[in-house]
Amino acid sequence: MKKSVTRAVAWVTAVAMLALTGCSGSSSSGSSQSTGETAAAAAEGNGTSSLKGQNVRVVIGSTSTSGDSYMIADLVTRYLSAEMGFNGKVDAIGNASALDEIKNAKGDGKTVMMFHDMTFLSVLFGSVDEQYSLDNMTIGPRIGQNPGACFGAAAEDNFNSLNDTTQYLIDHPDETLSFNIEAGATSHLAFVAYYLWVKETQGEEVASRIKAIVGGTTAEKLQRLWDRNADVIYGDTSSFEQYTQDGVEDQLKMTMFGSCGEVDGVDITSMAADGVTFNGEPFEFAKDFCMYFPKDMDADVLAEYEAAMKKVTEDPNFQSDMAALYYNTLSADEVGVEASRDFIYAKNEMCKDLIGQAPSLDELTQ
Amino acid sequence: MMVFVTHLLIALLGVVAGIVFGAIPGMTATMAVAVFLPMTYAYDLDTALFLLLGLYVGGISGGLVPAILINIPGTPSTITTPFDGYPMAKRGEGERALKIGITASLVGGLISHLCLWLFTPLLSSAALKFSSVEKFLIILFALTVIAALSKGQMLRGIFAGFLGVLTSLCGMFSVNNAYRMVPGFLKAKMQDGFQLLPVLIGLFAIAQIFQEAEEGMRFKVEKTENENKEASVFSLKDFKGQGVNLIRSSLIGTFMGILPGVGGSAASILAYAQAKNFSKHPEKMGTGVAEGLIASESSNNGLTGGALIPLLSLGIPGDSTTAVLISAFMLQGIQVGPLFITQHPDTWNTILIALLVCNILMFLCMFYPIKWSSKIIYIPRQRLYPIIIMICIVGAYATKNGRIFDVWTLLAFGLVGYIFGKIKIPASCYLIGFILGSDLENYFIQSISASNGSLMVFFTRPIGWVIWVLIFASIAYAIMDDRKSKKKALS
Repeated sequence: MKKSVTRAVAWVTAVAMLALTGCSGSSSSGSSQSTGETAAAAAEGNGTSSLKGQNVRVVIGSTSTSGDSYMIADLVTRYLSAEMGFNGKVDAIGNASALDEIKNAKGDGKTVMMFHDMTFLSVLFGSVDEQYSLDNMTIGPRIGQNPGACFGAAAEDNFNSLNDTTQYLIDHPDETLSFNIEAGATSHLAFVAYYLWVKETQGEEVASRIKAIVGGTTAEKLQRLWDRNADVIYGDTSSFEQYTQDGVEDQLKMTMFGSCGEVDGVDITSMAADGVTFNGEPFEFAKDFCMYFPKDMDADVLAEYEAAMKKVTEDPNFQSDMAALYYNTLSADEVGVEASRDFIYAKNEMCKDLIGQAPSLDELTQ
Repeated sequence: MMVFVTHLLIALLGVVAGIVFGAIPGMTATMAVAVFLPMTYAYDLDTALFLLLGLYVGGISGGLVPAILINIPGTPSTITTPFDGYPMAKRGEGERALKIGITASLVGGLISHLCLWLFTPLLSSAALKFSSVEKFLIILFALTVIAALSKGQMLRGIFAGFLGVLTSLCGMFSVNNAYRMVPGFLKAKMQDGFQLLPVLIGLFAIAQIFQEAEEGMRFKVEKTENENKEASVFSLKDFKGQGVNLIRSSLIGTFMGILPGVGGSAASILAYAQAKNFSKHPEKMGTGVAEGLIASESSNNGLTGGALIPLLSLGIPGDSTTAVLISAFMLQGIQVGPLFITQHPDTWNTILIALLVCNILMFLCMFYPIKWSSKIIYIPRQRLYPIIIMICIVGAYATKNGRIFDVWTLLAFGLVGYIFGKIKIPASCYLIGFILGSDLENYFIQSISASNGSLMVFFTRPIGWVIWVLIFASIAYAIMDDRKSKKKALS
């Protein structure tokens, strides 16, 4: 009995050690150096800060572990863990829960929210209460940008820009076009910006034939497109790109257009390049990711985060990891707390203005 | 050779860890994959796949242990396993029940593996034919199991099912972001409504503990005439006459996996309902027969290969666990989708080998050591239950990465389950309604919004007609069965 127990313990220890040391360098996958490898190497650093050796919980406003929110937060957390010496872990708990966590957390830096513009959009659209507004939290350093959100349509419809969809509505006065978006999300905002632009340039009648279909994950939106239950869907270039390639069967093949910003390495026209404007300015709305802390945040710890993030954003490994996922890295000046706060508040104001001018969802879905 | 040994050991680690996650009430295969995902940053894709698929297969399989031994489904996909598994354990046939379940899991896993290997392009094309209309009808079909399960008290069963559907709709309605049935002070906690796992464990585990606490925990393994050595020992004879059930249930599991968004719980519910509908002795289902156990376990493992089909051929995950798997591919710079198999044939082959290896390892790791874990049934309840309560609370707390609200949900639904027991409302019917309710609404709205509000959309598609026939046949059979059992009770 004793012998078999010893054998079992030895066996389990061997397997665990093998796994934990990541002994797989000789394998045959042949993929290029992965995002994970460089980040894992970064996490071996011996950084220092007042949070050294402490557990830091990073919450994100999404429940998905495969979307851009998780990817960026996880990458930044690993680099910050190395730089500041803490043990960071990302928890995908969803928007309302993340905002609630930040509202109730202590301002000691052990709880951080890393999320994109939906943090304030959800308040502006009324999805969450006013108590979660920007005024009731501390805006920390910005961490990165995803310019890749875009519109997509079935290839057989030959829509290659938002001008094409508008032209279709002009040429077919009896037809409507349905856009699948998410209520209170960045897709909602991009959609109303397009709607208002059509209304301004082509008139109310043309705009009234742009219809919203609300709800669904990216997978569900894709299925709606494949079922031809939606004419245009909204998602990320990294999700859509594979369906634009040669060799994809007709039912799945799609085009993508109207991205929120310029995406390096992807052949796509942005909304601004399509001529979409808001208040006379070209409309650009890349998803900006930022750190958010409780309102009574310790100023010294915040300064440590700021200094660490400035170092991380200038790290070539971090830059290449971000680029591999098609995300933009910011400059050290841009991630400064003061600059980040000004940027986020300005964006919040622009969104407030846009939402104020946009029709309600009830109107858009009729 | 060294690489293969490494992969084998990594797969073993994944399978064992997955079984542990699956066996802990409240922890699932999805959680196991999510927790271990950061470890794969240091691996190449092949090694990562062996680990993650091991966790997936182990996590799905491990749920049968608490389901059979202590009447608590370890994961949502084992919801129908205790129906027959627990009565067997109570008769002192725990080891036999576990071995039947494990063997059925292996067969389910291998059949789905075969489907993945040979028919992926064909099946992904078939999946594309299932729009939101067909998915709504399939969910409706799965709901008919409520009628079959509530034999003799159909009205109560249907009421419980509707109540379950209603409860599942609490939370924020994604179409207009309005909160439904949520008091103002709980809005932040209940954006996504009640989480499935705390509700599931509360209804089954906590309610049972409340009940037994009231009765004095005088649980003893029932000594019946079946408690002779021959009846309680597993042999392949347990599968005699079950070939069709085994294959049908495995294929149902695989098929449900192919349909993105339909879910693993629906697979075992549907397979169990069909096993009952086609059984020569439907009256014995739920009393501790191998038939029900085989249906439940072969279908939930059938899901594993099935859910990989839309992931690898269409780029959309078949279930929540494969949704997490996408991250592993993304981190290695690989897009899964329509061109994946042609562009990455080596990785495709690795997946096939890894899935096969993990299924075999799962069988070896569970089948032989099970005789020790099956002794749990003999541990005095007053010692076992405090540990179970602690595990359940940890599991509930971990559901959404650490929220105390989910622990309160667990306890509240424990109380609900206890009250249900007092007023004879079948908790299983309530739970099935709860599990399927949100999908039912989601696909209903998708169908209706695509047809400008016309209900005729549910009657215009040929596949839809076939499902309607199955729905009515299932309801008619359940009504006849209910009447027969009432007549029998009167006579």
